[in-house]
Amino acid sequence: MTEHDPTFSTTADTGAATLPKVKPPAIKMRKTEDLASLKIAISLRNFNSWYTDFHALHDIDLDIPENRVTAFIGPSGCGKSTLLRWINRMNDLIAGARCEGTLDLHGDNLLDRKHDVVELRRRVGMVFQKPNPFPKSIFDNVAFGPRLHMKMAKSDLGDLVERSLRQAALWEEVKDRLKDSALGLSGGQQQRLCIARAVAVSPEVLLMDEPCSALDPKSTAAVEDLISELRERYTIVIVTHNMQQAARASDYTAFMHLGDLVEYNATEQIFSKPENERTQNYITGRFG
Amino acid sequence: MSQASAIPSPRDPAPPIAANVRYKSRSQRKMIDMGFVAVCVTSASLSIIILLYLLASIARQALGVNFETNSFKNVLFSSAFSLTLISLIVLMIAGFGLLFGKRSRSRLITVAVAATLLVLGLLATVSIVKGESTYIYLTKTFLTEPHSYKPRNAGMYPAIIGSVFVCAVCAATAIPIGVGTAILLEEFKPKNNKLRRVQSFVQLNITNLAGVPSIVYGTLGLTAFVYMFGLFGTVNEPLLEIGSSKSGFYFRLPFGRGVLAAGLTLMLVVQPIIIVASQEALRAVPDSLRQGALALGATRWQTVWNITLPASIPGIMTGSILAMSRAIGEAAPILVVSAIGYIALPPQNLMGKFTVMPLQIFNWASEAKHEYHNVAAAGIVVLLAELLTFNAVAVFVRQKFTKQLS
Ligand SMILES: Nc1ncnc2c1ncn2[C@@H]1O[C@H](COP(=O)(O)OP(=O)(O)OP(=O)(O)O)[C@@H](O)[C@H]1O
Ligand SMILES: [Mg+2]
Repeated sequence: MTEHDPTFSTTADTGAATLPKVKPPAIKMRKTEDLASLKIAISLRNFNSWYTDFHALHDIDLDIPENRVTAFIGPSGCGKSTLLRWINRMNDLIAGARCEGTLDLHGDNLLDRKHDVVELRRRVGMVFQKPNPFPKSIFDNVAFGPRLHMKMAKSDLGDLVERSLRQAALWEEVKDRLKDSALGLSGGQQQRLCIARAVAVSPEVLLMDEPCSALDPKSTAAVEDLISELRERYTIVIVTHNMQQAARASDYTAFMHLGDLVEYNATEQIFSKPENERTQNYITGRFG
Repeated sequence: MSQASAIPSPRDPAPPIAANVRYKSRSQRKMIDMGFVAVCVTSASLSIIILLYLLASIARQALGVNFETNSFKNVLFSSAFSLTLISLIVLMIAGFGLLFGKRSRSRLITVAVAATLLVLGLLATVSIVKGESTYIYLTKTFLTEPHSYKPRNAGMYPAIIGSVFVCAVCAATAIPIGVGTAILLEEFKPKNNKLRRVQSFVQLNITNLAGVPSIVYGTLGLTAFVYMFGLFGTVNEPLLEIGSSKSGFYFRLPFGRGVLAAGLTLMLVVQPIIIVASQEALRAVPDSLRQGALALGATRWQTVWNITLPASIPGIMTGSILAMSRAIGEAAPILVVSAIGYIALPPQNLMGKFTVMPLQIFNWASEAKHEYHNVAAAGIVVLLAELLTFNAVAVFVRQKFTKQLS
């Protein structure tokens, strides 16, 4: 649990300058990385989005680096979830939601009408705010995606389920009751099960929309540990309201406000010397 | 940090999935989807047909033994027979409840058993004490003989088998179509504005259709299924005939006043009930489950088949069973589409002449001889016993299979 520094203050009213001191070392290591030197997984240009007539996202330009954790922060209703849901086209399900601009995943235009959303959603996994395990056994929950997408022998499926549960740091807790209903797990376990379920189809990108907001501090710590374990294997995008979580767990941070992308930079940078006053005010807790 | 050894290091180069895994192509997934639809519809229809056919043949064989009529002993026996038959069914349900259910559930079922036994015991007592009454006719042969010109010998065997046939056709058509419609309306809501208007129009009319008097469906069935709009000749001179009308396999166009036309007419009657009940059941499935499945790359059909339908099946089954108990009790639409006259034999094939329990009861009740009115009452007891069983099964299904969803 080296990543959770107990001295980190919740109300950072002393100003942003004190924040770097309490940063976990893992993030400090990455601070020198320049976005230009990284491979870009997802790239948005001139991206606008509407719900019927409501203009939810304005001209977003954003490059999300591969195999790094990118956090979206910002006050409630600023469009973080909207942006996230465009990346795996979950917004397609909402009547009246539409968008314009470019949204590329490794050079594939995701907004192409002909783009296979089923294939896309296999490549881009999603973990929701509220854990939503299926009313099936733990095993069947994890095996759900592989059964949809892959042809594999039964024993291979068992191996894959085990590997996915191990990656989600859940295997030790559930290995003796894989046949039990997933609804019998605790909230934190359910959320890690949802992560295992998403990971089982080997996505390239993992989208997480406030994955810890329904969890207690211990489960939150477990999920955060998990994110840092997964960061080198997957491109992770996480929405969070928890500033400490963004600072601890992410490499890059995008601050959004009222549908605008206000500031996007290395997390270190955002939390030590934000360029925009709105960012400064938000991360120091002056509004939001 | 006991978990640390279990977690593979982030730098572990082994991909989570073996390299030789092949992904399914888009067209393959489409095929699988269509396969699901086909399997869903056929298996549902087949299993219902087989089940009802089995029930019918068991009933026929089990009750095929002759018994002397009219003796006091016989009255006693008949009461005891119906009592045991019904309590046996309920006891079986309770037995299942005790074996697999929770305590509170099994207690509930035990209460149901006790209540049923009490009511039926009372009926039996009344029948023994009173001489000439309804229960004098409720003999064993009542279930194994056709209508007779002697009230004491009258039975409703052809009507029972006729009801089973008609309900089998009704269930086999109404349940797949009804559930399919509900799925279409609930799970495949169009985003396009014009289609949305069409959908809400259909929805509104399904709700309206649930309130249409069943005799209206009777006349509709007469035109659409019995005469088939006169497109295929007349009922007496059909355009197409396959097989002989005496054999078990016989098909003709138009359908004529047979089991098939009646079953399809009843399908129209119960369709709105099944659709509305299934829609309710589907709506009760939390959206987060659908989103979870879709976010894993499931197609809409895979989501329905793997997540939504299994979660809503208890509600759908309960609704379908209750719809069937409505179908078995319908007289008016059957009156319009069935052949009038004395029916001595159960239907031989899907096109065969038939009568059903409510219709037989209606015929007895309109006889001039007053003894027949008691026979009609005896018929009602049998019909009600059947309906009670249906409803008990529905309650059991709801209690047993409803599970927590989130
Ligand atoms: N389905 C929808 N229909 C219409 N408007 C919507 C819909 N979903 C979101 N919005 C609007 O779009 C804006 C952005 O919403 P979004 O859910 O992306 O915010 P958010 O940043 O995720 O907020 P929170 O932190 O509270 O989750 C809000 O003003 C919201 O009212
Ligand atoms: Mg949100």
